Amino acid sequence: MCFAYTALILYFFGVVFSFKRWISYTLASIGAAFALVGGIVGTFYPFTLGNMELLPKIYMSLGVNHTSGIFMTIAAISWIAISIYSIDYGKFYSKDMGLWLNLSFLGMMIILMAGDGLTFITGWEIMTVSSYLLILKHKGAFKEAFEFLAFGELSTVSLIIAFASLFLKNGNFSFTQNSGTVIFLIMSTFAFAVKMGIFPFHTWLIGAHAKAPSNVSALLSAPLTLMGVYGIFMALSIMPNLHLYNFQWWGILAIIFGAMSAFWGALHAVATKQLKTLPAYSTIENNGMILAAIGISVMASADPNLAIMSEFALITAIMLAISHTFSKSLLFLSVGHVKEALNEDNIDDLRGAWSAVGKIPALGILISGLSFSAFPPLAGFVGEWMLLESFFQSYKFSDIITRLVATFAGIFVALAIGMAAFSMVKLAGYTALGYDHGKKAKRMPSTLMKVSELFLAILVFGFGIFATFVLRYFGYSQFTSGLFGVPSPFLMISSVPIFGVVSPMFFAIVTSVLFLFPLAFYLTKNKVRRVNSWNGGLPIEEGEYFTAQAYSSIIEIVFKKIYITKEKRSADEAHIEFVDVISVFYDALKGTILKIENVLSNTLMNGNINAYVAYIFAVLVLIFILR
Amino acid sequence: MKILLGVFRKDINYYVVQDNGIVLTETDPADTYLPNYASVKLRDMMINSDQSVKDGDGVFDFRYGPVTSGVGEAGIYHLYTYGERILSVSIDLSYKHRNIQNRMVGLDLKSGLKMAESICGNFAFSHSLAFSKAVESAIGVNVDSKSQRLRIIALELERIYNHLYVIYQLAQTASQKVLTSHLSYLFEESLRLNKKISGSRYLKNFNDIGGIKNFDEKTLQDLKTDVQKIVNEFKDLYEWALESGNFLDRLYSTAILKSSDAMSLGITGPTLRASGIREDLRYNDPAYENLNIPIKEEGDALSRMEVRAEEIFESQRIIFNQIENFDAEINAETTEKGFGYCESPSGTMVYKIDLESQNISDVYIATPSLFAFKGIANSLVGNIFTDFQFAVESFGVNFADAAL
Repeated sequence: MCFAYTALILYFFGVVFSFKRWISYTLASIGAAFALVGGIVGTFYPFTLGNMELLPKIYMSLGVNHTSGIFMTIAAISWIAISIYSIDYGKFYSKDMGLWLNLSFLGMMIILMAGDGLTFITGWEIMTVSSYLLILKHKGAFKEAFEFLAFGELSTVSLIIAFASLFLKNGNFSFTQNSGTVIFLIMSTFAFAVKMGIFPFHTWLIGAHAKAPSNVSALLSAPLTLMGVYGIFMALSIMPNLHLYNFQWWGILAIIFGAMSAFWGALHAVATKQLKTLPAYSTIENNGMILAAIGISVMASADPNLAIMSEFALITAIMLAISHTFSKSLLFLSVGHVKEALNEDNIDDLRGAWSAVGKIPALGILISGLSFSAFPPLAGFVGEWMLLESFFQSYKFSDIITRLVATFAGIFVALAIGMAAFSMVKLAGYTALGYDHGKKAKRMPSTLMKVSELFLAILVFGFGIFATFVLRYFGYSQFTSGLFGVPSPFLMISSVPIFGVVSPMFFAIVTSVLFLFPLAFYLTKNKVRRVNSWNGGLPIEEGEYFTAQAYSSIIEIVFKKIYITKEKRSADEAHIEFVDVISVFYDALKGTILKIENVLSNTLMNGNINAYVAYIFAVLVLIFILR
Repeated sequence: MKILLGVFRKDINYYVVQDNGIVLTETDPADTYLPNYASVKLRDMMINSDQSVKDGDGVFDFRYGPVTSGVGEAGIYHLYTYGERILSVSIDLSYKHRNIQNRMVGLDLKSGLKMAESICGNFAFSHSLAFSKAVESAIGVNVDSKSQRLRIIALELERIYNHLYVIYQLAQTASQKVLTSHLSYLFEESLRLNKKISGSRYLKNFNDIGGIKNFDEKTLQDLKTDVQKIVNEFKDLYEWALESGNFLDRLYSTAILKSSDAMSLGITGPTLRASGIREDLRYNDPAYENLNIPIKEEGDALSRMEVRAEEIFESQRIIFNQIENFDAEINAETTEKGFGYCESPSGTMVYKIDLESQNISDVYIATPSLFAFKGIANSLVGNIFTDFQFAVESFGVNFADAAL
């Protein structure tokens, strides 16, 4: 309890001390460490920080329970990494960045600890507004920041409607068991889905993540969208018992939108050439997978026989959220490091980060990329294996429609996972491992940036290898076992009785043992001859490198109906154009509204005093008539 | 119809050879030349380097060669692309450049013939024939009818094995394993047949200046049955191949060469005939009777394969015809002094030779491959990577033949 208090106070001091950058960021990281401990404690021993009565029956309350404890633990780890990273990285930006960073952490803490709607909205708004101001720290990001704010406020408005519905039913805003209503569920899910960047409300996320400073991108992508996930968990937890009421429609919608998001995000991640747009689309993909997992859990919970499957899908969502939060923080921080050092935007121009910038940021990109590619035994592999196992079990549903939906959604998710690997190979293969351009990296203090990257990289490994212990820690020990000579609890099982099994730990052990032989051979051999790879017999020249565009062209050409691909060609120039159809729609919407606004301001609000007097007169007449 | 065969230089003047041996000088009005006059004149070893698409997001030079699997000889294909789509192609022939024309100057006729035969292995007989015809017309030797007929037979044998090879390569590229294996066997059979007739699998050392000597006429009867056997087996395979949707899909509409482009580039042979133009030097030769050389309209890889396949049947008919009329006299085709040409398996082969006391004092060689590489570069634009091999194989040409 005192840890959570301390964290809140430290964030407050971080805001106050924002005139001195390093103090502000250091306070934020210590605060995050306290939040971590608070989260761990809260997971096992739920506590409250007290109520504050505003009006009779209407009060604001803070506290941590099992679910919010888990989410606080996950988020706090990401906060720690981001604030340590910012001690070095923040030097490139103005002093008030520390202020807004602390404030947004504070907002998220409040969201996670909120025991009622009013507190929740307060935290939500603090987080949204301070994130908006953080995006603005990057020069020229006004349009993107504003789009972020617009969607952020859209979700706030629907949250207000949701909580109003709570108030109508219960007479207060507090989150208690069975207090939810259907309108609350619909509106709050919409609000959280917008925050998670679920298709087709994902366009804000792309611009904001790509344009924001990299520590802010990490913040937006990992902990901020995690708040959306937490919101859905929270909303479902206060709904009336899912066994008794039929919420299958919610599950089906969640699976459909989740799978669509995953597919759409992965598809566009494949095509993009911008360094930071790619991870942004990957965020959409991952949040889609999380939503789909929650959807399966809700559908399974309708059937008492499928209680185990429902629990498994739920822990799948949590594992996916963990892997996404850690890996995506790591990815954005490493990518930001490389981008800042080389001062380039395109994947093509950032080749050879390993030798040009440093081994740790390159390793960060590589490990997070592998994690998103579901490479065993990393955290992303565990999450995606669990998700596919959840989908494989959809044959257990009794309803044919549910089965069909889950099956087709599973196909899309599997495609998404495959394409994610494709895009991550592009990202890591070009930036971290690609041939060096020979570009000189900017010299900058980066020790703490490397510390935070290494910290996250170890966690991505650790949460993969020790996934079974993570499951047990969260109270899902029924999904760990021992079999085939693998001692308990090193084996993960996807159902009881056993359906599918995997042991990331033993995978790691076996591969590292196998790796020992070539390593020993390599170390004992004194003479190692290094040669360039064969390239037709001639040294490869600058204009002959296979470009990142070329890597994904085939997909853009094959899926030209989805990307609206246009191949433009003039005498000596050629390029491929493609778009995200959804953003085209929003752009058209924006254009129409601007046009209407323009017409209205030119005709009705024309600045002519006579016209305004006439309006007043007309209103008076209208009032008389109506009376 | 105007066909530019070559441009050769003598003293300070350039001479333009077109329309089956008609020689113009460079001082004639410019519109009498074909558009590719300049490039043929310069004998540029880089084809289309001035037409490359180099700018644009992600556009790069996908260099294929000089020593890469899939490129049969040393040479480079520069495929400019933003991935998958081939935007423009330039081809570097220089690795196979051996400066043959200069090296031939000063040689005696015997060594010249030997060198001509060695320019490009699979067109050995065509080179040898065009060379000897040029020399014969320069020194005024008449060739006896039997030799003329034997030359026709050998030329058609060369055509059969080359066409079999091209179709075999196309089948292999399309992973038609069974067809490939059968065609590979037929190709080997046709080489063995060459050996039986000429003593050389590639018909080398068979032709000589003045005619073909030391030939045993008894082998002719065997030849008929051997050719019949190969062509019959091929006919069955070809009919089955045309029923394979997989195979045809890879060829149909791949690397289309429009007839107007083919004409202006100076393409000859089966490639030109696959673009819908009726052109063949054999029509001018009185030794051939009732020619019915196939023509296709589409100009794609499939049309080129069809033309080649049907030419195999036509070659069989020509060989049979020559064997049946082996003893009948024929009039020799007359050409301008110092010119010799023939219809090689891939198009028109021309030699222009000047002699000085039985030694070669000047030589100009025009081969079908020189022009065909321009056709490859032209037809590949807009296709994708996987079409590349089909385009290249369907033209049936060699760097060695083009670079000289």
